[in-house]
Amino acid sequence: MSDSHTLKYVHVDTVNRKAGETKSRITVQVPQGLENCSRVALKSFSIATTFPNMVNKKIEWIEMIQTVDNGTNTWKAALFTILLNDLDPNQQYLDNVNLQSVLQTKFTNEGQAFIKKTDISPDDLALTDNGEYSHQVGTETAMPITITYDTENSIFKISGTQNSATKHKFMILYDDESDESLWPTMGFHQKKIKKIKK
Amino acid sequence: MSEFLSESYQSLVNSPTAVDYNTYVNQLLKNIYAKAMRDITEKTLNIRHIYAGHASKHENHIGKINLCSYLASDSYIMGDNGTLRNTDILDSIVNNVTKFSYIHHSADTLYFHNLNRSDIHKFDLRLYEGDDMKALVDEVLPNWSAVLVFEQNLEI
Repeated sequence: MSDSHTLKYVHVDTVNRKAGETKSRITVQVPQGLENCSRVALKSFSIATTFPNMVNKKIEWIEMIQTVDNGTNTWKAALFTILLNDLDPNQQYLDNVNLQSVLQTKFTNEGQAFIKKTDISPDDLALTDNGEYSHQVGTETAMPITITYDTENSIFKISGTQNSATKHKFMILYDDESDESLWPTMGFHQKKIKKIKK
Repeated sequence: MSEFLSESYQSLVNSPTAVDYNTYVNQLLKNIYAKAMRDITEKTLNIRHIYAGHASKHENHIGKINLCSYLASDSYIMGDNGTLRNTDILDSIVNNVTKFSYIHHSADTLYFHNLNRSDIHKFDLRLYEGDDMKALVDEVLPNWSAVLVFEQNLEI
């Protein structure tokens, strides 16, 4: 007696998925069963490339200023977040040019409405969210941030223009747990973006 | 907050003392996206910019899709620091088409996975994005289809 190898082809389509299941995770039932199977492979796969790129996204950065406290220079820092979950439903997908425009509007922070501030304590670097919307670490003039997009080379650039005498530093961040940061897809090397776990 | 950020914080605080005066490169900040926007030693506008290191992939950000199943428990993926770890990727589908079109992947050479049980009555299929195995946003994921090949051994 010997073995004969037979191939069985199983066609799967998420249109026909079980009620309650999601398109990213399905269970395929085989009522009659496939017996004595030894190996499996993918033969073909089809999907539309209509993936949105603005769902549950945000960008975060830290700014630090040097202040004088009782005659001693000290640093004060805050984490700033722009949440992008208030976009029009038609803006679930943005190309780079429109992304630059949307982000610039948020960076401009008209009416203090778009940049969320989280305090960072200088001693243990603990984060305290007071629900405050502000782009000032302390009492300094808020640093204007400009974002530009080079359409020829597809490169984003962030610029700060702090003209006051205050020492002022800026660092972009990646929230490692939420995985919602836009920085990596905008071309910023993931390994050069500092990660935080909140 | 993580120790990682703590180190970065200290790098930022101490950075004025780490500027190479020949190149104006800040040695403590050169490996992270951080800049002194106003500092004693960094006064020129040129070094107040942070450039993205490479072209944006925002417009077509999913480079490849991993189709996973417990059926394929014999596959491995290279993780951090070059270390292999066991995974269940049935196959990886490269996104080499433009946005708003279709990926039609068809395998000329089948990459078979050995099954750890011979009788199949149900199996799962899961989609993940890219090398990071990030979950795809389900609410807006389009429908997809696939054809799987099972090899059966029949006694004759």
